[in-house]
Amino acid sequence: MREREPVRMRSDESTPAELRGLVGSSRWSRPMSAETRARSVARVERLVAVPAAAGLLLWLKGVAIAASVGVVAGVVAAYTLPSHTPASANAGLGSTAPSQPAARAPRVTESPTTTPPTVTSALATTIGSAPAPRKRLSPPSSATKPTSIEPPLEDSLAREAAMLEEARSALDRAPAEALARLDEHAADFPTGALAPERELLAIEALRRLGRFADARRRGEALLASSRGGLYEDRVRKTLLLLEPRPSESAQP
Amino acid sequence: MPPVRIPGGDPDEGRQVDVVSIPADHADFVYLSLQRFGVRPADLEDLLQEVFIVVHRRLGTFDGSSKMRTWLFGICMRVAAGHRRRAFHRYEQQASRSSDEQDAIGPLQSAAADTASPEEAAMAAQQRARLLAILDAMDLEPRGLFVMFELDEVPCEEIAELLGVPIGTVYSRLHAARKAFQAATQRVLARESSRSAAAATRARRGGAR
Repeated sequence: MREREPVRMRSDESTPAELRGLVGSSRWSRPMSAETRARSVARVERLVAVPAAAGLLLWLKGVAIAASVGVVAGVVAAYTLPSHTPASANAGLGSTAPSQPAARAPRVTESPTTTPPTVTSALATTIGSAPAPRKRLSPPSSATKPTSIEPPLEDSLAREAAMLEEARSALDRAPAEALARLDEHAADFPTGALAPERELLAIEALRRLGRFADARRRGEALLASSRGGLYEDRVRKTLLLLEPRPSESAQP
Repeated sequence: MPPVRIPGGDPDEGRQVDVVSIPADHADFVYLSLQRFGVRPADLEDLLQEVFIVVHRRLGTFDGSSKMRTWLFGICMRVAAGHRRRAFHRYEQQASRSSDEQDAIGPLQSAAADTASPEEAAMAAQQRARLLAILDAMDLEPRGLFVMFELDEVPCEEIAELLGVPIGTVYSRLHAARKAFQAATQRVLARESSRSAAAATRARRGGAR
């Protein structure tokens, strides 16, 4: 047998009048307006679109690396193998003479060395054009130069995200440390994809350090650059919290 | 993130859901749930976004052992808990209460203001603020349940379905939530009366000078 629904406190005579008065007679939570709903759903769609783009870049990276490896192997083989080795041709056709030394890399020599570089260079150019960190890159040695690819966008994003995550996790216990990490991010990725997120964290770190004027300055700069963007409302709210207060007069 | 097929037993059964269809289908539910866990109107949109970012990250781990709404409700509670813990939130709360009381206290205050005399509206606002303080003094889980049943009048059966528990469990949790509410009420009222006493003492000292 199913139990009866309990009587709500507001209608229960046995509940003290004080408590009944508190719980009132109207509903507490308000439904979302159509405007808020549309705005929120659009925001989420924009947010999830960014990782999808990063996924596409990851795929491109895989293709580029695979193509580069193929080309390098081809170039190396072309330089190291004798130009006319009958065994290589035989091996390429499924020769049963594996003891011959030249049979080790026959398939590479089969492919023409002119076609793949075109594809690779196009992909490498595309990926190499992604924003790259200004420092922390070890100088390319002459040995690795032909095969090196500039840090691709998804790597940059991952590094940016890792740096910001470190800063965010340090925010509660050590805002100065968080700020130092954010400064590093600013130096490495001055126009990084996560620059607005960095600035939001920096404002909060500065606020926690009592540097309200600095926090306001960065907040205003961020607001100027994020008008109409995802973070505009949030920056405005943050700036409201940074309004000068009487206790702030002690700030240097 | 690839779409996830919803298994049997869910209203979404058999549908393929992804990170775009979930916000479109469940944004209203998440919005209400966040309020039940004490998220203020000013923060609702940000937190709603945070919930769906978590959904985006975790959708691959949703195995259908619970209903989509049960899963989302759990995420809402964790996101609201994180929000509550942040010192920034407390700061913001104080600031928004002083600068924008209307928004911080909620919609009923304005409803009361529209329909009642100024005195009655002020009284209703005071009650609303007190209720908010009491709910804030409760743990999130009993708070959510209490608000759903007592204030939003969600039937127990629906709550049981949402939480994925037997209805008897809802009754016992509701009983515990009411006790927690009463205990929180006593604490808040005691705090209010000690503040009033301190204010009266200060006023007396000021008058004696």
